[in-house]
Amino acid sequence: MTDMTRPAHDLTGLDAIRHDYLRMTRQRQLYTGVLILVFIVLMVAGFDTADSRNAGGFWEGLNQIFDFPADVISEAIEKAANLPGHIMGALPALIETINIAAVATLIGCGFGTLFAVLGTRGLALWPALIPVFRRITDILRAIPEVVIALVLIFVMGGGPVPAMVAIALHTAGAMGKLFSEVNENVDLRPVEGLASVGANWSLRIWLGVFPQVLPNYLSYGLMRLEVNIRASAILGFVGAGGIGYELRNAMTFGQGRFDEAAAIFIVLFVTIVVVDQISSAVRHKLTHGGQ
Amino acid sequence: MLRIEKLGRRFGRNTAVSAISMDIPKGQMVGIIGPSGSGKSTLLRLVSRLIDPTEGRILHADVDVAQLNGRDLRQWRADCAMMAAQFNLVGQLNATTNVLSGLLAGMPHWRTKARIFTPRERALALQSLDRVGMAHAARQRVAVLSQAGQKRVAIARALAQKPKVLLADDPVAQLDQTQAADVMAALRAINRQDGVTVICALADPQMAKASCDRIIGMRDGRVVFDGTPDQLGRAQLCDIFGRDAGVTFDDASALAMVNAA
Repeated sequence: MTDMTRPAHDLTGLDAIRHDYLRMTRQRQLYTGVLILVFIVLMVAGFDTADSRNAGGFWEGLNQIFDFPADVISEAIEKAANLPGHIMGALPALIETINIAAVATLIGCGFGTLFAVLGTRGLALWPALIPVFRRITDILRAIPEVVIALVLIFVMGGGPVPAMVAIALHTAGAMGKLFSEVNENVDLRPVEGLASVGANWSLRIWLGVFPQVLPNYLSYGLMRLEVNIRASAILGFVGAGGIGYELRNAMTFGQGRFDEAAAIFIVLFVTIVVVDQISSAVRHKLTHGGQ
Repeated sequence: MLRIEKLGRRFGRNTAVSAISMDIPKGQMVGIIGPSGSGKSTLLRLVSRLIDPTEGRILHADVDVAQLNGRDLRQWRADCAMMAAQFNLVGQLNATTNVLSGLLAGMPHWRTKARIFTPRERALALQSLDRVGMAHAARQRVAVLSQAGQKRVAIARALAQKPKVLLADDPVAQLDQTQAADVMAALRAINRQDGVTVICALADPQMAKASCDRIIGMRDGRVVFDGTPDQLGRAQLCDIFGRDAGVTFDDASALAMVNAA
């Protein structure tokens, strides 16, 4: 095919290369153009379909988007004197939420580490079972926390334990994937060096792999803690306790408790910012200031 | 005594080494020379059982090392120290901990994992580091040490193992001449003072001649020369490094050797 598009034999070597190069460049530009066009058509068509299936309609609803926040804020300003009291009142629930997230992160990261080591080529104890452990983490990652939590709340009743288990399972799946990607980049020479002094599998992992990957693990774990605090707050909405539960009660329309909702929003926001700041400082130290 | 009988190893359809037979008396210092790809490293890795042979036997004290597995295999690896060509210490741990890892075969796992070592073990590690002139780096992370420093720590770890056999795969790789001579002298001292059998693969025949009791020449996975340094002359070097077969850039120093001999 390419020979047919090449016009003549009298082209010198460099001319032929330039000709080919220009032809390939034009082709690439054409493909890029077509791809952008297809993307735009899909976006427009998709929006029309989605809008026609919407109960209210996108454009009609757009101007009402700030109605609820405006209500909350105006009511909160009206009763500004109550805010400090509400903030203090929200603290026990906040601590419960953070507790759920912290325990779930710890347990999830523990299992994630195990799955990651057993599911990484070159490190696995039973290489034949690598796909099994990888699929387990896939499954754990694929099921949303809310679904696990709802099932567990149905079985065990409401409370912090189902939420904790739900988040821990999801975390184990997510961390199993992330950690095994960290493991892929491990230098295997120290591991073989340990094998050469007679170390068994667990010692090789413990002394040869963990020192290499621990800063990365810790960094991902802290990031996950932030995610899990949000997840734990959301699970409160479905009856798992903590600050999400309080927020749902306060946010229900027509109770005149929007000042309480505002207080909870403030507390959550401050918590997320504080955790984010601490963890990014620690992560920065781990990745850059180590030595 | 270490006796190797008809040892061979294939990787798929490639034969890395085949029909290797030799007797190595206790306390001998053996240098294995040959062009890159001739099977020197494979032979050492077979003896340390980091890879499994496809045929043949490795007898040490009348035990066939090639058949060991599980705990016995780990014990053999502990008795047979291996210095790999490339850096195989844990860079994130300090020099002392790396040397102490040489002792792990003799202590409970939980103690190694928790890095709880007895004063005697620590003293032994420091002594080993001191013997290779690295006691000053005891608390430094290995990753920050120079190439030569890392080689020395690797020797210290091998020393702490109190091995019966010490295998060294190109111990002078990436070192300058002075550093290389120092490392070879350290290996020679271990061989002489502790009576440890030392087998080292070397790219430079001159270095092997200078420090070994016996030279084994390998080419294409086979032993083509086995004798004393005195017997290794120009004709033998041509045999090993295949002057006629087209010498590659890697073998330039060997070619210079051949011409000088």
